[in-house]
Amino acid sequence: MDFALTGEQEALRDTAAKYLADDRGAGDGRPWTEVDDLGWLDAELGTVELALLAEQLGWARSPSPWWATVGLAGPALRAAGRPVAAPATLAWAWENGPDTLAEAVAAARRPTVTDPAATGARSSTGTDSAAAAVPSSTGDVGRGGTPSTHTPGVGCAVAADGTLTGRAIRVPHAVDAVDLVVAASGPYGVELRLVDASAVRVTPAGAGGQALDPSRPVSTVELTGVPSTLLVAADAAADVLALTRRRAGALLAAEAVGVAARALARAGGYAATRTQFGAPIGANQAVAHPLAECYGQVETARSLAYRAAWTVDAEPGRVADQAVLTASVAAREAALSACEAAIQTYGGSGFTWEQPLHHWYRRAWWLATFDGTVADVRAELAGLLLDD
Amino acid sequence: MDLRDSAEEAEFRAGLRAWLAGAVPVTTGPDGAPPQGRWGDIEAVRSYTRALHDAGYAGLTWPAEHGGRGLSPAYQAIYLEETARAEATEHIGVIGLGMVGPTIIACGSPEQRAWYLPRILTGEIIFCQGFSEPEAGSDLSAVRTVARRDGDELVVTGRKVWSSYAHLADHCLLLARTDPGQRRHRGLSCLLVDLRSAGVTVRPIRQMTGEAEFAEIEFDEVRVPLDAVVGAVDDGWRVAMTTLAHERGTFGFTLTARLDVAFRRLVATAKARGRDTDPLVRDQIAARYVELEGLRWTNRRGLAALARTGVPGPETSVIKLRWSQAHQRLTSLAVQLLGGDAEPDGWDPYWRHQMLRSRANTIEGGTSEVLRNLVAERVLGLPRSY
Repeated sequence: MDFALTGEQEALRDTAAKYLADDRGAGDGRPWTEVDDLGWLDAELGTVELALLAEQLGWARSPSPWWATVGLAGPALRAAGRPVAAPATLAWAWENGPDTLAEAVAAARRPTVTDPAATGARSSTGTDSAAAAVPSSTGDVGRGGTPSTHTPGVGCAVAADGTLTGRAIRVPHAVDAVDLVVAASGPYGVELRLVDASAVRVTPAGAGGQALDPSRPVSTVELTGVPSTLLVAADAAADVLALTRRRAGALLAAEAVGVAARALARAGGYAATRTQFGAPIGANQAVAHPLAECYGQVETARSLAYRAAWTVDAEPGRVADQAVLTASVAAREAALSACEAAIQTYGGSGFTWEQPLHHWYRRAWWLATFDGTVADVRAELAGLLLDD
Repeated sequence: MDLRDSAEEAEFRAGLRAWLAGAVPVTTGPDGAPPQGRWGDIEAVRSYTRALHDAGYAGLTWPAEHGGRGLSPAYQAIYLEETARAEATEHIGVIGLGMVGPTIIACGSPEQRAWYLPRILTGEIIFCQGFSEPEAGSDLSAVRTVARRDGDELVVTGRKVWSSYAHLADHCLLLARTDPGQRRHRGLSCLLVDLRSAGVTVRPIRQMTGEAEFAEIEFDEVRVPLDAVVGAVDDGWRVAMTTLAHERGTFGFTLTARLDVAFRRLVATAKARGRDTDPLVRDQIAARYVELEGLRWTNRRGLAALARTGVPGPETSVIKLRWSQAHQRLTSLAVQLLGGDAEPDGWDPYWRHQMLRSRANTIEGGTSEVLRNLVAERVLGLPRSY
């Protein structure tokens, strides 16, 4: 048992902090190539290393599509033996379902009754050589069944010619993506397929400054007979989606810790220097104690986020699922609490547009509501704790 | 980072688990409810303590030359997790084992070490701590108990309160003023006092739970040999801080292990009372679990820092604060789950007792207000607020 970062992990974190600290303005404007140059897309990085980067990006409230690329699209691309290089994202939620990543995993696990003669990729030995890396485990699925054009409840279908049609909702960073990974129903069940993002119609939600967090844009994505390439066939898609959900969730928990830590650091700095009634406001316990409580929330959330990241690689399956859900609850709550405490500590100036706290607060809310509310996460956790 | 047990740790854990399976007396009643209070049958605790010592599980982190096993705090953490998992009672001399013994090892004389340490390990002598006073609660440096020099003796007069385990203890680590000319942290000494000495009166303090696990100790001209002073005369503040630092080392594991037991009992109660399908109850149980896990993994992070730097990381400063809140919420939830049951069983008195007892958690061992002050000043760098 050794819950300490290695020297390499610390160096990765510190380099990221240094890189993100240089001031290039709130709009960022860092070229994507720098992310690659820094090695943040390397296949060797484990989930703990990725979580350390996510935490720093949360601290900086970076608008980079890095999380969507490595967290959402990465597992499918890697499973297909493809490099993760260009900005990428994943479409899993569709207008007529599934809605959440959990539902997408469940849909992919659903056995389908299909016609073996139907066009489409049934296993990794299908027509697409890119999928050769995917292990085949359920080769008997659908044998002797009746033809089916798509899995019930999945709002995007793979046509006989491999084209996709459907309306994806809440796709993060679709506006930045070059590669779009799509969870669509093929004749043998849910498949993960790759689409050229320039071939789809992307409509950002909340355009015109109405987005909750403009630095983490989500969009509706319209696919109308768009050509696609198979990444992960139906026999392995559920496992890859489950990994995606764990990996993306662990990284967001770490990002939320970074958001919380930044808000707390700002609040602490302000409370120590802002003077009223002849003394720094932080000398008042009514100001100081809520920040001490936040510190406790941030540190326990950090422990849980690192631990969750570790389990994603080391103890995949139920242990990791439970650890990620636990970290998500703690980190989402810590981010919201710390931002709210910081805004209150700043007083009137904390409420202004000019004071950048609201950028972190918006990100905190984005995190708190991504793919379900905190109450939804607790409900799922309760199922794991009480129902077996 | 590797959150699994090492091969040695896994072996230790397996051995301990096997030993506990045969050594822990069954204490639950027919309805599965545990006994009230921490101690239950005191004779059973004494014999369990002897068995614990015979099996080599007393003083795990004490150096081998002082009768311990010389193991790292990681093993103490495993011990605390496994004993909690087995719902075992504690070694009867927790204060001696966890605080007074390590203080004597760090600051005591060779004679003190030779006499006290083996007896603490076996449970033959039981220590309590005499630090707090009626006028020195959170502000420990305000102690008024006086130890006046008279030849080669000290004559102790004063009153100590909130000494836990004092109803069982026969010895006390006492903080008293030896130099009346000095103020606050200076001129204090730490003394090892036999509570059977003439002039000592121990009065139990009855708590809101109805039981008395704390006591008030009155010292009326109690004569203590000068060689009972731990460390140098008038250097007691440093010695007392050594004692309290040992409370911080793996104490978080003790607290979390107890919370772990309480959480499993909460789940059992929810199921027994058919409340585990209520969405509001499920939400609350999940929230309590998140708090428990946050403590568990923060302890382990702190332990890693302790192993590398010799001091626990700053994050451990919030363990006691957050544990106390989590435990209060948990016991309140449990009592609400009991409500309205037609046929009360053993769980009803158990949870009502736990709920009342948990109110002390945000007061004992550093009030939440003092702990928040410490975090604000020492970790967040805010100005002193008092």
